[in-house]
Amino acid sequence: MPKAVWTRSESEQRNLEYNYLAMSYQITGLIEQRGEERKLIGALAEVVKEVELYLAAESGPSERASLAQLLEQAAGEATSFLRLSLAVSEYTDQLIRMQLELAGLGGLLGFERRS
Amino acid sequence: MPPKKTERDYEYDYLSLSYQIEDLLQKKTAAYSVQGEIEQLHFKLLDLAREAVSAEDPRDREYDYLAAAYRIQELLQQKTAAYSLAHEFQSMQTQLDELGRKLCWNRPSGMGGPETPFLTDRLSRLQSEIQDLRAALV
Repeated sequence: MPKAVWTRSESEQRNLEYNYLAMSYQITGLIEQRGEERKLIGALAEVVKEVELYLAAESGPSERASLAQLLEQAAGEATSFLRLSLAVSEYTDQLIRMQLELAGLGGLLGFERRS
Repeated sequence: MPPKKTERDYEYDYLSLSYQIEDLLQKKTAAYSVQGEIEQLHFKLLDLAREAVSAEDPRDREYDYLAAAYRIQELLQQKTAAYSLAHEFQSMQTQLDELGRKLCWNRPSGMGGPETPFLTDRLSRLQSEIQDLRAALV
């Protein structure tokens, strides 16, 4: 089957490449943000672990118990909040939508998959 | 007051400008030659994004995605810079035309008859200079 061929001016090509670049920056921004959120969750989990270790080693039994409960509650809430924020951040939907736009721009730029 | 330039000086300027244009064209050609790599990376991005969306732990794919995306961004910026070379090229070409006029290399064909040997002589001298320079560069 003959392949459709069309030509475009250099300024059209430039505009498409500019749009592609802009979309690429948006996607990398989204993924970088996701990575930061993950790091935050990891850091919180680390804090909880350290507090647990400290309490186990240094304090009396009753103090340890109440402090541990409070800290665990605080850290648990923070972690839940972050997890919730990740879950409802529409990250996946956003990534898919942007990625489709990027694929479309690639098509307009005439990108072809080579085997 | 600067000394008046001789024809020899103009020829030297012409030669020097020709080399600059050649260099510019090489830069532009190099920028366009990245198209294949951009295309390849584009499809890598599509594959990685699809895998990242369905993976239980997408971190590795996301890191790979970011690396490929940063590379595409770099290559596209190189291409964008190459577009601006067109202006520089036009400016050099104008200077080259101007020098050609000063060297009387652009006379209408009807008037060129008796001058032809004169012109050929200069061009042949320029050619030998180019050849000498190339030989020196090898």
